[in-house]
Amino acid sequence: MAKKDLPENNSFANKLGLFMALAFYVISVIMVAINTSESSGIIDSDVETITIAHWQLEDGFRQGFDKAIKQYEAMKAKEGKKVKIIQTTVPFRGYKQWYITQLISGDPADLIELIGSSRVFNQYFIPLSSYISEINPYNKNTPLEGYLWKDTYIDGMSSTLDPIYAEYFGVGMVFHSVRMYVNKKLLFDATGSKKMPQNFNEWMICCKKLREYGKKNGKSIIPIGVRGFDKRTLETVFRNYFSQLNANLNDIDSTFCFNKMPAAELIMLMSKNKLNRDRLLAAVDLIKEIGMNFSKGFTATDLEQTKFLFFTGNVGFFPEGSWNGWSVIKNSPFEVEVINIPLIGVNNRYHKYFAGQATEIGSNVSGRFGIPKASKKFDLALDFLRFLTSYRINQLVMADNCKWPPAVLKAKYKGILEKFKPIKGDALLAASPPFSVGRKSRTKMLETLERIIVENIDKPKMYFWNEFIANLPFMMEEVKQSLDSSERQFFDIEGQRSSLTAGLLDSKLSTQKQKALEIRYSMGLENLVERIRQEYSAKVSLEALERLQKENFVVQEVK
Amino acid sequence: MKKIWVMGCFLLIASSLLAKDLSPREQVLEAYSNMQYPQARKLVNRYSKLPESRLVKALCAVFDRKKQDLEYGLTELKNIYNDKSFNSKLRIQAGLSYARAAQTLQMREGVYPITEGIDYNDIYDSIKSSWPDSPEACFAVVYQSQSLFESGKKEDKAKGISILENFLSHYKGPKNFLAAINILLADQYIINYGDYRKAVKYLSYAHKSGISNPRSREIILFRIARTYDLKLRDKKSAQKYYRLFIEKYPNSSSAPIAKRYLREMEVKNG
Repeated sequence: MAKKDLPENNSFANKLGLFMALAFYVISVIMVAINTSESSGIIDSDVETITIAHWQLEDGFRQGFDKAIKQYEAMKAKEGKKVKIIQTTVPFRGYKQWYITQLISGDPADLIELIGSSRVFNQYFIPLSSYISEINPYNKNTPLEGYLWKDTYIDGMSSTLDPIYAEYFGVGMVFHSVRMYVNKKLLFDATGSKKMPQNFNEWMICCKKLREYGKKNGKSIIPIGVRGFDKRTLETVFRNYFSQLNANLNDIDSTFCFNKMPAAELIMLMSKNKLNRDRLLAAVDLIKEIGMNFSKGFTATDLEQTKFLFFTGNVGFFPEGSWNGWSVIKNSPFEVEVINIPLIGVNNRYHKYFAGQATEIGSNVSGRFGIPKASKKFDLALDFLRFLTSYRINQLVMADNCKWPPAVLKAKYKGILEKFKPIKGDALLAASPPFSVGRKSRTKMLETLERIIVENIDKPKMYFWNEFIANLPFMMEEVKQSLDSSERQFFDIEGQRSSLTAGLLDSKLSTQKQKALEIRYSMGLENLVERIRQEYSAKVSLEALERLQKENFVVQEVK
Repeated sequence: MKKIWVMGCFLLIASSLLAKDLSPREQVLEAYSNMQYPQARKLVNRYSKLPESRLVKALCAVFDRKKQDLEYGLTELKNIYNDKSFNSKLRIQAGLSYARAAQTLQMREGVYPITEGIDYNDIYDSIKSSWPDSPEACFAVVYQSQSLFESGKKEDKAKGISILENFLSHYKGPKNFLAAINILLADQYIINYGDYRKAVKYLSYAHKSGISNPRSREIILFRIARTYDLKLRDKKSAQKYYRLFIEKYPNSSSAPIAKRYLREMEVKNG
């Protein structure tokens, strides 16, 4: 009997299986349609959706964005517009590959955090220059009401100007600076005092006491924690001390009378032996002194390892960017003090060269977001970008949630943020060390500094100078490459010009769009003139580098 | 049945009226103006009879590096430029892009044989004389002078400056293109003659004529003040421009520097 029933049972089971397969297929089709439809799916076709993508996984950033998104959606709903903003985050390690794939695919997020070269920006992102000169409507009833969008920034958006194409392909969200995080308890235990180091020498004394404290108590104490793997700390500290000692270089009358001495001219002055070389190299000596307080294997230590070491209470000082400030403070099981990188005090042997502290005002805005050309929701994306960077919302996301200094003017710095307020300094712009001209020579320069520390080189200044001379061929190669790419850039600029005129040939353009295109058109010509000057400067650099090599400065010992 | 037909026609008419579709011409121009080359190529093939399509197709062949066909693109641009029956607005674009592409490609000697022998200066001259007050004439004169400034010969550099100055004295077109030419003149007077008096004159003209790039606006004003201060030793003018800079750009990173320079000048003057 049972055997007779079997075909019937099988048939029922087959039908059920088939039905379920069909049902799941239909459900999955509906779900895919909902998730991928441009207007938020088939359920509600009135909803306009845009996606914002970034790599910021630091504490509070996404939460801050979520709050801003909620407020924006609610505000638009009140205006009778159904809007949905989707936030997508990709870890930094894979971000670049993901981002390029997105851009090439032609279907990227509508707002993307920018990374990569000027060429990528020019090819894939909408220039925003004509919009940044308009008033940001979301600053109504705030201290920035009536300001042009660009003027609402602490740097007037100068940090976001692309130097190659003289365009604004994105706008920034945050001001960042480097500070030093101090384990207060460890410092007190080692020095017997709560006093923070007031200058370079005091800092070094604290480091010495930390080492002695470690030895005495059998603890492996690292006076200064560094992210050595990417050489970031080394570079930051070197640049800081170079600037403290040489910021006066910006006051020399340069050929074009800029506010900052161009690297090409500094190299030329160096090649003519017109700069005090001992002063130029003094920072190398200081770096060696600082480096003696790093951990033994510092070159292999990355950021996460250094943070871990700091949290375990084994690190006294940790120079690092404000972007990691909140996570260092929040996750440390002890009280953390935030101080500036110590200045060179009167008791230092190099105080005779001390030029002053560079100002942080009007610079260092980062976290740029741009709108890809492929975005189908440009107007909404631009509107949301204005909302995000408005006085109230920029502070909500940055200051209130992730404790990052906001990019807007007149922001209120409360609590820990007080420590990250832009330093006014001594009315000096930071000076850049003229020992590298590109990525490769920069790495060579940092490797030299590393070797000075690791191998405890006896005469660091002389060693650094000789290595610099030995690396001149790399620098020349870099300058030649940049000159070779000039042809490409001039060619691209013409391509850009022709595309703008194609836009202007459209007789049905709105007055606003016509005006925006005309501004970009004339900016294109200004950009071209800028490029001609840059090409001239690159040629001066090359001449100076060749001169340096010819003169063979290696034989001259630095005293 | 009849009712269904009527309803259908009504819906079709209504949808066509409501749709915001662009005309073929606008679609072609918009795709190229957004530098969406694959889309522009598709559209020019679809609307191949439009004169705009012919121009955009040639421009894509030159400037889209992924599918570059210089031989076709340059020849077609040249043909469009020489075809007097073509709309003059399109001709001028074709001519300018043809000449500039040839000029920039010739910068790498021997790499692009197709561009050898192309006399771009001839086309620049013709654009300048046929459309003297157009923005394209401004581009043409800058392109032309660039090759003279880069030649390394003294007489060429002088010629480059004289071409620019001559152009400025006759130009009556949109003012927003004047700033770039004035800045170029200032830079060249500095590079070639170290003549800061002329340089500051042209920088001031640029400042007055209105610079489009907000960042350049700031830089040029600072350069004027600094040139008066350090190169011409005209302290009165320097103070005037430093003050103007601080007033206009109080949040600039250069504002504290300008204030310091002013302070130092006041101390020196007692």
